[in-house]
Amino acid sequence: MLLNPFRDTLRRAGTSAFSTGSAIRLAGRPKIYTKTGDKGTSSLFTGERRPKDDEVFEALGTNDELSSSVGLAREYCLDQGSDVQGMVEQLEQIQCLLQDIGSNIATPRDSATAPRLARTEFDSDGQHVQDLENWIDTMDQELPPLTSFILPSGGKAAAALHVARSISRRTERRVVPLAQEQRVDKSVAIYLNRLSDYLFTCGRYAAMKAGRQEVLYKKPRAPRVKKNSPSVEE
Amino acid sequence: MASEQPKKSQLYTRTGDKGESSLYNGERRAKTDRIFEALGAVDELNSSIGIAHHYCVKSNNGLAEQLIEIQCNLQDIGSNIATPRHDASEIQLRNTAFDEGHIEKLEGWIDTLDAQLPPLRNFILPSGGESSIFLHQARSICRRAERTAIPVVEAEDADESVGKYLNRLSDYLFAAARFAAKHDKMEENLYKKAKSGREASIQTRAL
Repeated sequence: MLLNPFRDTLRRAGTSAFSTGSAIRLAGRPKIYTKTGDKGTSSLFTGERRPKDDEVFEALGTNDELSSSVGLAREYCLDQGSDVQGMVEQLEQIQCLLQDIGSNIATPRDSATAPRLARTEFDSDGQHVQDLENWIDTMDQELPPLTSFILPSGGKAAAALHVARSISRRTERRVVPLAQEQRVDKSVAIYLNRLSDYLFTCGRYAAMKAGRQEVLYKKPRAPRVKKNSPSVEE
Repeated sequence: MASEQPKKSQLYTRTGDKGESSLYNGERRAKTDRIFEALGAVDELNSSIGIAHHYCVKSNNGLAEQLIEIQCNLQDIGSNIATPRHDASEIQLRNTAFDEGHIEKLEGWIDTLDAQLPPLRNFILPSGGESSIFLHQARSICRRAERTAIPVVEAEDADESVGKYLNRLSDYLFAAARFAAKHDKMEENLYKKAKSGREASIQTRAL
């Protein structure tokens, strides 16, 4: 989630008593590092500062990890080719929505002003969740029925989608308590719940389109004495 | 787009929309429960091994079969974690027990890999080619999964064998990463204490 990089630089340029004596050039070159977080606090969208281990930042950071993992999965899908081009576009839309989810998390619903709440509302009509369900239904039609557990597998894109799926579930776990305390819109928790189903379906779909066998779960036997199979030697 | 609606998938049940999910014994709990945290971490570990497996197949380094067996073990560990040992039927407990024999098997694999590696003299940085790098990443996620499993094991909601397996697994993944680097004939980068900017500039000025 990227806050306006100019904002803090502008503030410091105006009020800083510690200028180096040289003019701070702002045009085209905002400073990425503001150092305002060096003491372990950061700001929410409402301007409120809180310690960085606050639950809100944990949720924001996990959402950030999710977006990164979706981005990575999308790159692998791009490499895989035209069969998953639709998925590439959907994943990009999802990254944009995750940015909006970040804004919603960063603007506590129980303390923000009405205009701020209005600007950062998420999926008030449920359309985004509906889109996910439609995309799942469409892909599911082409997939063979699931008859056993599958292991995360099936090529690079599929594997990366499974990673994104598991991170999506962790993001949901971080958001659920905030949603229950009504600090984050419930629609965010619902979207994240549906998103992991979507990413699972994508994983299966990408594996199928790559022509890669998904590996099926098979309960390993546990011989107590034998130590040597399957061993690996050069 | 097709004009007719596709058939509704059975994948999404919406039963989790209010923030709860079910354990294997049928009990529903909040998704923030530490059991789900542990389950999810093991799931992430499984997924990260899936990526490492892909690169090990590509490198043809021989580790692929062991990684698949580990993924299946992790699925079984998930079943064990999802079935609180004090609150399940005899049958459920029997079906989801996690055998200590799997740990001994891991140890055997580690011994075999380690015997083929040069002794470690320095800290290494996660490096050494695609397979090695992703095995290192899986190793770090494995340690996180172990951390989340510890309170669940301590509360006796999951078997001790689960914690032990995850502990041993991070050692296996370390050995596997080094083995993979050696197989790909890739240099592992060694840790070397970085000079701070100040020290470095003093050095150059003295020149």
